[in-house]
Amino acid sequence: MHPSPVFSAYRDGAPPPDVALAALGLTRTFGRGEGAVHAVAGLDLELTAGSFTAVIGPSGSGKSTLLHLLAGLDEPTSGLVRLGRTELNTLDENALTALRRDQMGFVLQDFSLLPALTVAENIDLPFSLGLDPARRDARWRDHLIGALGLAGLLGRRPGQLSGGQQQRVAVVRALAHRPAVVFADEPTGNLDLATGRRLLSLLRGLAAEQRVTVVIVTHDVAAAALADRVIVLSDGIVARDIAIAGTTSAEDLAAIVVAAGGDR
Amino acid sequence: MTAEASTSEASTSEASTSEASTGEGNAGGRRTAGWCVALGAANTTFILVVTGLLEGRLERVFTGGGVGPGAFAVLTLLRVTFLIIALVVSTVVTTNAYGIVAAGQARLIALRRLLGAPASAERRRLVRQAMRQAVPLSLLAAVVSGLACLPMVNALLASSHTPGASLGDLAGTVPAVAVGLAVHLACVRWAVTRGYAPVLAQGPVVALRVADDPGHLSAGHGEDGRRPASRWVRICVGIAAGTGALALAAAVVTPYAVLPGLVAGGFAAAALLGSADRVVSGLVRGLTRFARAGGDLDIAGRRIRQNALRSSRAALAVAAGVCVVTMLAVASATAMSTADGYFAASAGLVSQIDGIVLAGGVMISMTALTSALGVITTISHGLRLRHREIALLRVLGQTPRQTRRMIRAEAGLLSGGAVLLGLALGVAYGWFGAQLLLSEASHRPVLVPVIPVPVLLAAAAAAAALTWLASAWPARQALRRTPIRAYLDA
Repeated sequence: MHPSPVFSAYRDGAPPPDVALAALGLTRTFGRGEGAVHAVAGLDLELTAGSFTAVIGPSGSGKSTLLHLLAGLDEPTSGLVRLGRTELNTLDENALTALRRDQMGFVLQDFSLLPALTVAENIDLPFSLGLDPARRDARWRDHLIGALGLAGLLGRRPGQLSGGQQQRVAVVRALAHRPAVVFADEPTGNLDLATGRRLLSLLRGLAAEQRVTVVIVTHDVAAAALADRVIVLSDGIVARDIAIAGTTSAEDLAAIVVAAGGDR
Repeated sequence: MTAEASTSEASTSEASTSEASTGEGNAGGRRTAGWCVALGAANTTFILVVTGLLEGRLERVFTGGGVGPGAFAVLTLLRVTFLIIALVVSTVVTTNAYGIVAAGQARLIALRRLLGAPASAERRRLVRQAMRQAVPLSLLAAVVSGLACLPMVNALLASSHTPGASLGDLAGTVPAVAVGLAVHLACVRWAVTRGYAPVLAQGPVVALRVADDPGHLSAGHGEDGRRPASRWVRICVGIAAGTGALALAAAVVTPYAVLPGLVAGGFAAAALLGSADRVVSGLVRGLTRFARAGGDLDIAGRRIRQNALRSSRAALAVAAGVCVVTMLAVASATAMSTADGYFAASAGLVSQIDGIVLAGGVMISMTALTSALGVITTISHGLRLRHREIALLRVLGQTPRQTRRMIRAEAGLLSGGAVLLGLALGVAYGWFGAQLLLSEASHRPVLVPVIPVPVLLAAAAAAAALTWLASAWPARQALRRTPIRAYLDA
């Protein structure tokens, strides 16, 4: 465990205004007794607004579980997650869902599109699920569609797209309503190198210019090296917390990750 | 290297987890399919044994000798008619059940094919597997159902002071039951092949798709149901129209017009089965437009049309149940009004109609039960196949309230369309049957169909309630876990 002095300072009070997302003593255990697996084991973390964080670590280190917990998609076994001043575990299912829909955007690890809907309808799905129509921003949506090369594909169905194209549709859907926090699980996993880099620089730009808090989970050290901060997870806890200087190369990062036990 | 090893280890365990969950879903699906098969066998046996035991005895009940070809012929016709209806309903329900089992196994089957199993060998293996379950189940169901018939028939006969049937009489029905069961099992075999066909047609590459909706696979290729009617559907419509017209013309002079009538009815039903996805899509599209609601209904309507084939089978089960009840109600009401008006003095005809309605009612109840089971299994299992999709909607911001509303809207649209279809078909078939059987006896070229509104409303309400109930439990199941657990484990 890593008790955080920052946390103890505001444990009972309001968080500093620039902390967008915080986790305190976050634990998620699967199974019981002997066979119990502690995917996330008492983790403390805070992410400032407008930061771009990459979570990296070996398979089974709890990266995806952490992302799900931070996004309020899964319930922690213990501990809590705060989005701004709101503690997620105090909300009922309806309120939590509405908060997720309004404030967050996700890119799941696989092609999470509805086969019955066209690309355009998949992108607008959060709006048909009750997102405030005032949040629609046609110009921003078109910009994203153009930037990710989906302009000619809006009328197609997911079954007619490649894996990479489906992934990009999921990204546009996650960003179209300008969420405050964006979570992406292996967002570049299905993309070619050039498209992957384009997506990462788009996310970087969002963080730097629009103060969107971006958290990605990745296996790719080169992708992680483009973030402001890299969290190396090991056995469900933070093994290393690295602020990336502009000069940190992917090789340097890989060396740090290996040294931190991130490669087993 | 070690990282790679642990990655592959993790993915292997992931694969086996998903396989285990697929297997579990299949166990449920197979159990359901088993129930459908058993109920179909029980129903077939029931109809054959009841009519077999009544044969010869019922003629004494019917005092109106000289009316038409006599109770014996009527009973034979009734027996064949109800048997065909029962077989069609049970085949539809069974096809659907195996379609769902197949959809749950889609990736596993694709994986086996990817690793070298040819489609034909897979088909044989799956059919063998299904029949190994179906044969003993059918035999067991037939024995139970046959034994249960005896006291039931004796109670019926006792009320009309006719000597009861013995175990020896029951044994006498065995040859007919054996033939009936053989036909039933042939229908099951066909249903299994049809059920697995879309999945086997998909090709091994499906195994490589990380996250396709397995339910989607059972949709076949009929997206939105906009597909030209196949040639054999058109042929069936042609034969049905021809023989139907012939039967109607012949009905004026002989009640044996029922025979071409049965052929017409059978081909019309086959044409409907063949084009059910289009018919149901059209109905649902119409209802969505009629309801003029956006959001939930719109997504629900799209889902139904996207999965036109599977949805239409669920709808057909509802429609078949409503249809058989409506058919009997309309036929008997029409027959009664004919008898009341023109044969007030002929107690024989009234008594004959009473007997037919009673025997028919008993036999129809089993068929209605089969279709009820079909509705419940299709809707609930279909929703289970879609847990992942429902979970995804929740991940993207659908509240539990919206999820429940969406599932209800979908079930409502489907049962609404199916009830309308069933009522329309039932009225048509009921009138057709009454016309063919009674036109000559009543000396009326055209019988006016009588529609017993309360009975039909009750049938429609029962079907709607059943659909509603069938969607309530899976909706609860779908919402039981956190969105991401539901998504990942689906």
